Amino acid sequence: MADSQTKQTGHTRIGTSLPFGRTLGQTLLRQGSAFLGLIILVAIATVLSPSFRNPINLLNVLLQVSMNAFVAMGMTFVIISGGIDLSVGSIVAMTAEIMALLALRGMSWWFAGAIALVSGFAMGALNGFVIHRLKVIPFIVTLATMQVYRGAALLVTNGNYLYNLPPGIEPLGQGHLFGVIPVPPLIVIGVAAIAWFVLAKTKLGRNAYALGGNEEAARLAGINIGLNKVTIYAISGLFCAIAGVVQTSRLMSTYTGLGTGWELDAIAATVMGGTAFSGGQGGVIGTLIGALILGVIRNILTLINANPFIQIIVIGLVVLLAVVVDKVRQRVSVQA
Amino acid sequence: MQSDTLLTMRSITKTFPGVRALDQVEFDLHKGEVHVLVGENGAGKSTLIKILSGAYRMDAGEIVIDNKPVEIRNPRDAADLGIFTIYQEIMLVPPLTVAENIFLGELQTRAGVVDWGEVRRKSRQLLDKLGAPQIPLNAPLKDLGIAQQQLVAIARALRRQTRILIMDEPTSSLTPTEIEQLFNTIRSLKSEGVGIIYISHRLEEIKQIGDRITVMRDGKVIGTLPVREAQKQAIVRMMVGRDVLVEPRACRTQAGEPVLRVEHFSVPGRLHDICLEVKRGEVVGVAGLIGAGRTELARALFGADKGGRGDVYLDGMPVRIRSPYDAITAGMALVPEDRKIQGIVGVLSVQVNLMLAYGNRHYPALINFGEDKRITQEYIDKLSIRTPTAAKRLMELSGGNQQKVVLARWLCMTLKVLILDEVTRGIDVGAKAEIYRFIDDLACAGYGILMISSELPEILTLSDRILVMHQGRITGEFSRQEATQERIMLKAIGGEN
Repeated sequence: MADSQTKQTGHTRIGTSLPFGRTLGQTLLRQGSAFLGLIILVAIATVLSPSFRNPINLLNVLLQVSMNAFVAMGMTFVIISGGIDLSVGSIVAMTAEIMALLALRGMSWWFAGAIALVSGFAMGALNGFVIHRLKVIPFIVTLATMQVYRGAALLVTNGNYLYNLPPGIEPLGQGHLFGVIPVPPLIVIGVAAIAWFVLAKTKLGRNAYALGGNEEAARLAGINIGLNKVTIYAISGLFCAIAGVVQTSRLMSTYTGLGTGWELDAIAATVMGGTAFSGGQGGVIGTLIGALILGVIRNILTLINANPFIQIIVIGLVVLLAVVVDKVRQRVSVQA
Repeated sequence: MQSDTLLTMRSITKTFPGVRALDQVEFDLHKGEVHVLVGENGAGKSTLIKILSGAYRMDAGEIVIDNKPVEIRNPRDAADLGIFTIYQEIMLVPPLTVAENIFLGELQTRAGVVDWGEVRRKSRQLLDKLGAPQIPLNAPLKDLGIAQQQLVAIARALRRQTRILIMDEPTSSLTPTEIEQLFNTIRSLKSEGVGIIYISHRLEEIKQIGDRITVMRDGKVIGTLPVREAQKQAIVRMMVGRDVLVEPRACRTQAGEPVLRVEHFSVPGRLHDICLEVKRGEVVGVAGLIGAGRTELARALFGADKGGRGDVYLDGMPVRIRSPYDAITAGMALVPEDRKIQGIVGVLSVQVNLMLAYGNRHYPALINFGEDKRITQEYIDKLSIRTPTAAKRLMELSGGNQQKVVLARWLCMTLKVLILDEVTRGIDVGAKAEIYRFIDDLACAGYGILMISSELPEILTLSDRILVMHQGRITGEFSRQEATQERIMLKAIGGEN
């Protein structure tokens, strides 16, 4: 009945609307509540600790959120398409290991890196393929591959650290532009621009939204569901591989436990950034803001010397709060 | 008369951002009366009943039950006052059993343990009273047909002392026999003094079951009158505020070449040896009861369901269709039965929805936003889709406008055959007439149209030829001249003539 539609007239869900046909600036403006949350948080942080404002500290925050930002942007693609990817952390570990092992055997860094990216893409694609072919829900499939990929990572190195890597790639993770700005956040910006473009301007992006919004309707409109799912999960795998490569070049070592629990941070950043868990709505700009919120909270708690165990509790509560605020705001604007 | 009045709603006003959904609405209901509420989508009917059932709170006004002012703040208040609503989409839990659904939320317990004997006994009583002793108590609800699910929903409403029963389009997915059964139930509830508010788009039904009728438009009550004094044309005029011309056929080019030919088409266990032909510029209606295999035929032809065997020719060329994409490439389109579940992507914009199939087929990798915008605007104008902008989320439009967007999705492509499955279901009279006109226009433009509908008047109005299905077979074929409701029904129930 249309009355139920009438009630929504004049109400636009800020932060989760579609980016189609909008400029980057407009998209940013639309991430209203997440952006506002970040600003409030930064204000609080500034009051709580004078050293927060210190440019060195701020750049450090950017560096720390970079890994989560990569993984979370991939997660955003998946969640927009109505899925979930729990295997991200394991893919990070696998790809980091693949690159490190190849480099240790004398392969050039760039070639080893490329192979790591391709393997990440392939592992993601496999997730998508299994989800589509076996018609098993993404949660279960990626829960399983999370174990499989992690187990494979353990198997290859027998659980050992890989270190004493040959030099050459460290500028990627440790370098600074103009001697100040760390490189990983710059890579994040580059990847984010591409991810934003893909979601907002390409057929693949539109199909991702359509799939998440109503898979059956998308299928009946002729969209190839299998191909799109495989591609979307592959993108998630690829972004994990980028995180794996950058992290390895930053630490110049890697280990099989790398990325453990990263799926939770990635999901948290995505959801806090206004991407609807039910699919069909959201975008990577919001996710970046979500990742920054997480980073700022961790940073400030460290600066004020909070108990690290309390940090974990606070992060959990903030994620919950962000989602509740979003829900309440939605209800208020519907009923007002 | 005063003592008979069960419910009075006075000066009810409700405003949503930007819209006055209800404006000083007056409505009353007598004991043992069926008071029909009609109006186009967006007229305010749903808002009114949602206020009565506690889903919304009114901004101003007064509700009086049994001459006592009452306050309805939430659904529980409404339930305590004996007000129950049966929504169009049945709000039950499909995997649970019939008995569990009837007593959901208030299962009888003894010492903290559910007293299943009592639950089953009472459920049985309620269903027997509704004339449905055949419904198994232990079957999961999802295994029942829609009509039976609806009876379960009514039984649920009657588990407590019900004084006011609100029914929102209860017949939209029922067959004529099932409708008759529902009407019997309504009559027996009336005789017990239950007041019934009955929302419907089907004007034919109103004569049969209604006592009084109230017409709403743009959040206001336009008028209330006894059903026996209500002329159909007059009601329609009150609803839309203008005369609706449901005037079929203008300029159809007669007897073009066959554009779709289907030979010996089967889906094991569902469709048996279907042969049919649709000519260019022809509308072929497909009538039949729910479960006759009409939707299965549409979906199998379109490649939406697998398992179709047989020969399909488009423009005389054999085609092999394994997916909707194949069908679209061959020149076919399907407007599916359930708009919300299969047709629209509600959270996405009008533009994205409209361009979904076109973009998927014609854009290489990048979206051509110029083309997107141009085509969308063209079809918003052509089909008079009422939306403030092309960026509006589709779920925020009325059902009729949503369906127009789904139609436009196909019309903006160059196709030959259009399969329409219940294209006007749940759509108000005004939009219906517009859609009839498009169908007519499309036929004139040379499309071959296969139109499935459960509304016989719709089939009779629009079709050049009518096929009747029964148990997965085509059991009858009539030309427009030969067809009557009686003849079609006879074939639909498997009878001979």
